Amino acid sequence: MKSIACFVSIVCIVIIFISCSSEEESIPVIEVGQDFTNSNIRVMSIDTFSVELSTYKLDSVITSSTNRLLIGQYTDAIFGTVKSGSYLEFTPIEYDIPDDAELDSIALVLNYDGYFYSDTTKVSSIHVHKLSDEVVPEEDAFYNTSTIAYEEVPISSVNYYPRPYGKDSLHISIPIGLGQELFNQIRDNSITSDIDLRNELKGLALLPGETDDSSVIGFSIGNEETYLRFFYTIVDSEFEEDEQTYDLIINSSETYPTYFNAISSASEGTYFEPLIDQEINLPSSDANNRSYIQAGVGLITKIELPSIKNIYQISGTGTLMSAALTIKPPPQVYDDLKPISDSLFVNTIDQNNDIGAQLINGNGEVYALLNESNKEFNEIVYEIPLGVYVEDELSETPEIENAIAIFPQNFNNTVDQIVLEGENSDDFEAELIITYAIYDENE
Amino acid sequence: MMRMNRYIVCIPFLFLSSILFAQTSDNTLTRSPYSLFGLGVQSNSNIGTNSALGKGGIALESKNMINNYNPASFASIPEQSFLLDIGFLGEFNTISNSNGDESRLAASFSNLAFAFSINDSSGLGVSIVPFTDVGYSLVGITSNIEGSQDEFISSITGSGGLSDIRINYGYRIFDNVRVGIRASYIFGSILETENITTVDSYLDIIEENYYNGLRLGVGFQFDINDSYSMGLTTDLPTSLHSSQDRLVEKTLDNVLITVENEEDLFVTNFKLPLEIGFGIRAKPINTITINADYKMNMWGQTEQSDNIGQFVNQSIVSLGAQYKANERGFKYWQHIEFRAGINYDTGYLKVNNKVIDNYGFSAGLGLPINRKGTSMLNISYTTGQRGSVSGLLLQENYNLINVNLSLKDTWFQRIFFK
Repeated sequence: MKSIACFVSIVCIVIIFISCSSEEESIPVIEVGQDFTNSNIRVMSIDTFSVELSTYKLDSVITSSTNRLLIGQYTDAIFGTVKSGSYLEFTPIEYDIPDDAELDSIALVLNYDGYFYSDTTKVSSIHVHKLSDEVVPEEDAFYNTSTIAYEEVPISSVNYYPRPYGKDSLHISIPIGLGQELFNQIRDNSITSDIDLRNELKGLALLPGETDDSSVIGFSIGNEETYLRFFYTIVDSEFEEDEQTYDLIINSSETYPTYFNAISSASEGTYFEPLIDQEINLPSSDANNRSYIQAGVGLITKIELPSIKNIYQISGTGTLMSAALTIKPPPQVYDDLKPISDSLFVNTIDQNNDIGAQLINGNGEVYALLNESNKEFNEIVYEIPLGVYVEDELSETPEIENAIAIFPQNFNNTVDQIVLEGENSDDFEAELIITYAIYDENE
Repeated sequence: MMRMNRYIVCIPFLFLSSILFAQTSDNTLTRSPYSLFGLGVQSNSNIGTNSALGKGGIALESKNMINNYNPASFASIPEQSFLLDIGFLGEFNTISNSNGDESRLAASFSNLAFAFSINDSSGLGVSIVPFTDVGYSLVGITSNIEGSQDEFISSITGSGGLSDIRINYGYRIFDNVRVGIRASYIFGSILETENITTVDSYLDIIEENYYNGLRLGVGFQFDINDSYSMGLTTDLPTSLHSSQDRLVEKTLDNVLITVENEEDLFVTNFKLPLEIGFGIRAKPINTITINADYKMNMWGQTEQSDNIGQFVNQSIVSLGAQYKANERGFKYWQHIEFRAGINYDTGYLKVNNKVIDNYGFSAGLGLPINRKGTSMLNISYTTGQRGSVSGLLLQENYNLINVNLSLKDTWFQRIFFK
């Protein structure tokens, strides 16, 4: 019996020994793998999934309260005549002019904010019209398509060479007779509120000349930069005339909009003529194998990946490793005067072409970024990482005809335009490159 | 009543054995890159003296030490004897390719076995021995991304192995003829991890393959005369039930995504072949015992394929010799057993049209640890080589130390004398 007890205790000792032995050190590593075995996984790069680019036009783009007055007109070979005018309401900070003030002159001062599009070496014009209706939107905001009735005859007009980077602001003289009554009523305290003021001055429309073909210019809405200034002197002053000013400014702190830009393009004769409804798509095949984007006007490029689910026809069990879309803007149609944005928003859109959320992946928001590394070969392309989007599309049931839209970030206060080579372009086909890994040859 | 007790005592052994297995299953008994193939490399762990005798012993008896190579030998356990064997295995190997070499070490408890005589003519034994061992790490495997000029890099690691719980029963038909039967439960899991890196994403595939199955074998031993014996073993082909758990994870545009987390996936069962072994034992002079075995494993007939290689019939030849100066000597050294052996194994996989063959030379000592010389500490050293630099551009030189504590005592002897 003793001997058996001895055996059992030996076994127990062994168990304790093993239990106490330290964890295995990690398996050593030598780079012997290469010639010895192959990976069990196949990784393939596939560029045959079709990409369809089309252009559609938003029914409207919100353009009120966008921190910019956008005024000007130019004619583009592709986009037609692009025009923007500003409608705005001027109000003072306080209704207080000294009783003995005498109005000397009135000037509308517009200060450049640095934005321009198209040729600033050509002369531009601005016509200042008095609004005959108040700046009150039908809904909560004004759109690029909104308009407010104004008096036919401008109260003032100016021809000028835009200096968007210059220090000087643009001065437009307003005939004194047009402001005398207003000035006197404020001085005499018969206008003491915005409501009173609107009876006299509902606002101004700043419109480009009908025949202008120069540029669209951005002006600041800051109270120190852009204002309607009344120059006056205090008559009682004994020694010398003391010239002072009284400003009407754009009140951007209100919850309701006080200014907006009406941006439009004359589409007659362009590819965009049929785009009278947001749900109409202009396939790139019907538009010189290209798709188009224009901010302000509302042109958006829509990208669809109609055959992406064919990835399931690849035999074996696999998974998506990456999906990258490359699209080239043809270099012939952009330059320093009509530059293209180097990063574009990438958002989902639904069947009605309404814009949804911006795409997000592990690096944050997804942008179409301009890759200029092959600049010397004229191969500047937009690259869009679509891995997460494609993964979602693949796993989505039931199928919804989703698509993505790309458009510039300053979509509601610029007229930036972009042309993109479509999927059948002779120069550079818009292309989706998928990296796909098969980790099990069986289904 | 005594007989009942005898079996009851076995129960804690079985219980403890299973705990032992659980303890060792995480340990890696090999570092061989060749364990990538099939179910891993055939384990170098052995019971008793087999390691030192060139991994042979089909015709050897189990008089003082358990011979797991032939169930018929269990009939030769002396009446009222109880045998216990605890084994340790240390492996030190050097992997060489054309770029250089690297040394690796693995060591662990390796096996446990006990056996006892049931009566004058029969004996029973239970053992837990590693069946195959897996432990490899292959890094820097570059492969082309099909349809592009780019490459992806993968690294593959594997660990685990299969164990064999075996019951042997031997029965003496005549004085010189013994037959035996064995039943093995082979089970275990092999974990394989592959991670790949493409230009901007990662993919990890973690697969754990589970195997289990029963295998039956029979054995036969015949003593031609006092000096010569022969033995025969046959293990029937079997199919190990296999299943797989798989976890696949990836990063896509820097988002971590679980692609798949599945359990109990279907995988093709792994087939073990018909194995036939023949051995002889010769004792030309009283101090020397020689054993020679030939074993044929019919892997080619399993008609299964490995994604890397092709299964071919495997032949194993082993030759061993043992010297003991004088069983009745008075000096300690006269009781020491000196052993040596060689083993050649053609391997069962052909990769790139080259078989992964394997040869080893072994030498060992059996040091008596009791006065009767029946319990021994068996130590053996084996040096060998697997694969070749020319074939797969990878050669493995391995060095093994097997330590077996082989104990023998008599059951209930004192009780019987009472």
